[in-house]
Amino acid sequence: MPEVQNWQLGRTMTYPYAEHHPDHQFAFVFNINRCIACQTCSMACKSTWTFSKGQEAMWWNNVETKPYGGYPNHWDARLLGMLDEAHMAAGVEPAWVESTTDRDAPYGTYGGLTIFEAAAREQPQQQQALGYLPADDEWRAPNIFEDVTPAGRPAPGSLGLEAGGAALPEHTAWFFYLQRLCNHCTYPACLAACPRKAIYKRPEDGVVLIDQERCRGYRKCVEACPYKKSMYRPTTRVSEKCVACYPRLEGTDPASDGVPMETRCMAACPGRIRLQGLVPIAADGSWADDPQNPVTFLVRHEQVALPLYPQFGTEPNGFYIPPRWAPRPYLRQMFGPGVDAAIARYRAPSRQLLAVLQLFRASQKVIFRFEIEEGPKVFETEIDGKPWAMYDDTVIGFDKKGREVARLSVEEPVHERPAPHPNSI
Amino acid sequence: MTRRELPMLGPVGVSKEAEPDDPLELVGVPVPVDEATFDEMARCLVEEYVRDGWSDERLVPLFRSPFYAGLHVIFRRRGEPWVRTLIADVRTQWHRPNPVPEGGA
Repeated sequence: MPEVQNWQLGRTMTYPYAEHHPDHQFAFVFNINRCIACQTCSMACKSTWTFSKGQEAMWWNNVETKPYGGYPNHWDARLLGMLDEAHMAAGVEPAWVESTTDRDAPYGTYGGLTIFEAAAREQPQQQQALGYLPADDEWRAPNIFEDVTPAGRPAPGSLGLEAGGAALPEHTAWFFYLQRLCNHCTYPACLAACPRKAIYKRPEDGVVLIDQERCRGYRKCVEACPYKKSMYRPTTRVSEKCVACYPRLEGTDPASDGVPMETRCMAACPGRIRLQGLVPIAADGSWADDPQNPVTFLVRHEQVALPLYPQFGTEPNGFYIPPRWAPRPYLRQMFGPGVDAAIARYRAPSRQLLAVLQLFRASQKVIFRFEIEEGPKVFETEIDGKPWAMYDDTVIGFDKKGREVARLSVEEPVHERPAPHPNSI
Repeated sequence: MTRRELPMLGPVGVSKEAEPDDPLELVGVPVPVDEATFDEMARCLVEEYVRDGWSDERLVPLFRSPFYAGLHVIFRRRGEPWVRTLIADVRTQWHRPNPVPEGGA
């Protein structure tokens, strides 16, 4: 089986196909600290792509409540358990070895098994990637278990419900929300598992698609995708997945003005937690050193955004700014060993980072390059006992054609709209 | 017909401890955290709102409302004076005074 380089693991790994890399890679950064789980992204996706018969339980984008929520239920806990069993059977310690500032191994080197390597140890080999097929009822809700019912509500007698309510233990700490869609992985497990070779990765933007003509609904992709983002549609008897809103990404959407636009789920986010990009990929498959690309800057230079479960080994292209308050061991399991440094950088952002964070949801156009115009020092303060200064810099975003599409300052003016406004009803 | 109360719908569950390995996976399982984690969570939420330009008049009601569960759990545990002190502290640290609405307070 070919050996491929996985920069997130800091080493090579086995994968059924040899390396082939796109010119650009669809990638995104989500700031978990800001998400309120309004599900606007989920609805934007659903109303665009999965509103038809047979797609009722199909949420290409969903937001789930961690630690106990998941779509399908307990997808990550279950796969982590399977990987754990594989490690115990093989006598392998799934530890990360720290590295210095090695560009090829920014999070260190992963010594455990990936889902591909764990599957290859099975004799005879049954699967291309360690995985499981969720049961139908596990897909029944995109964010089940979100709310804890407080005691005393609803009001006595309302809707005939119990006056006392059903109280559960109150959480001392608020959980956090995990926004999920297909990670358009560099080494997709869905693609590896497809017996029909119906799944492909586009050379221009790295988007992973299922050829609906070739697919025969064997569901091997549903079984293999560790993130469970390939889904079976019973009415057509083929599998479907996120298409990265490719008409928008290609600039063929009427509103796109001929340049790549962010996907529907990104563009709809009211909390400004999402930033999507197309990052340039070097010939050897590594991310080209392009610090003026906002996604490359956040992921590779500031390292404030981290991949989801990098240990699975698919090299996912979705990255998350981890929540500041969640228990660190849990976060390290979810985002790898880069968590502590990422949170430290988010708590006391560098001058450049603070400016780039303004670009989240600043434009529907994909921002290919940013520039920062330095502004005056606004104030000095202390964060964690260390001096920190804020500068009112201006960040400017440019689209694929180099046209300015966003201009924001760090000190954004706040305007309170008066109660009667021009479009009041 | 005599109506019979269904015991499983009653508030009987209040007195039961959560079981992390409950096969019925009944809603949430508390994650044990220390006070420092709690304080960090509260500070993070306040920072995001304050840096977005929210006034005390808009922000404090969110903490009071049980429908904003993440903020409300802070309010329940520490009380309004603690929340107001935290907001004031964050305003000082990030130099974000309470914005006065246009046309006066």
